[in-house]
Amino acid sequence: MKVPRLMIETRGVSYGNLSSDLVVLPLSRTKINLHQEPVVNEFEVINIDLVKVEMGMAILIYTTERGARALYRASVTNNGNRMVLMINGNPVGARRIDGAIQDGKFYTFVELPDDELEQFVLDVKDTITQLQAEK
Amino acid sequence: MHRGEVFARYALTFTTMDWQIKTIARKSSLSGTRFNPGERVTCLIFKVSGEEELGRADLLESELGEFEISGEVLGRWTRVVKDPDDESVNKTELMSSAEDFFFSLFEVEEPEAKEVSDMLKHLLSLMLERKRVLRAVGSRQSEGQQTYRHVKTKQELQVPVVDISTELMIKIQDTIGDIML
Repeated sequence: MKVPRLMIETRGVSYGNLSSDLVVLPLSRTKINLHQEPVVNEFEVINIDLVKVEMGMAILIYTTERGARALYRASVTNNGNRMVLMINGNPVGARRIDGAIQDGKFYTFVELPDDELEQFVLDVKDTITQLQAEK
Repeated sequence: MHRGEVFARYALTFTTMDWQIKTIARKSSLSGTRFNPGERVTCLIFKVSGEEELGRADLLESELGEFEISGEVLGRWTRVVKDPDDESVNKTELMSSAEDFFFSLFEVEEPEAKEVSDMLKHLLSLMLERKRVLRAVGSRQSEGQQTYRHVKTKQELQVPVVDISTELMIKIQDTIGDIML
């Protein structure tokens, strides 16, 4: 299974959020401190697609209505921070939030080899289907 | 472009915007005297006159009448000074401060400070909604006004839904970072 979650970076000085986890992106080795609580959990992700954008291939994540609201709240209150796509607790991609996300869709690049991307998306899709069936 | 180069560029953008956040004020904005653990401090947030800046004054309750604010007061909350060595965070107190500040934003409606006040209302409402202190009523609005119900008191409030730029978020975090949920 490949279980997707979206996590948000802690603020510069986390007065009220001392519980954070440091993660390191696999290719860029970028270090990011994350809140332990996910913004969007695996039950709130309803689909994932591979999309071609100007800078290359990106991952597009679709969320449920509840997930979309959580994504909107987090994108407003954490504008300027990074949102990280985690798979099975490991970071695979991150994007800096530069505005409110209102449509429940989140895209990011992932730090995986090109030849693994398609299978990666298929595996996550399978996991989403299983999780939605268990709900 | 090579994939590694894309990530390198992408990662670079991560390092170009560092937060400039001040520490929690440990001294009176009026006298400069260090606060003692256990003292009650009122934090005033104001819009600096003629500027797009947010100001903050941390004052003992006894000093409130003496401090001259150089702008329009937007809101306030009260905190109890902790021992400087005590790094623990009292989540209930944090929530209460954010809640107090949110409600205080509705007490003063200064036309000159409306824009930034609206942004603070919107920001605080989303934070308090996440913590289930407020509940959004009706359909979720992406513009105009969103109705919220305060869960404890059932009071309903109209909160403007506005854009908050990254630049303003930096200023807001710099000013009220210690009560951001």
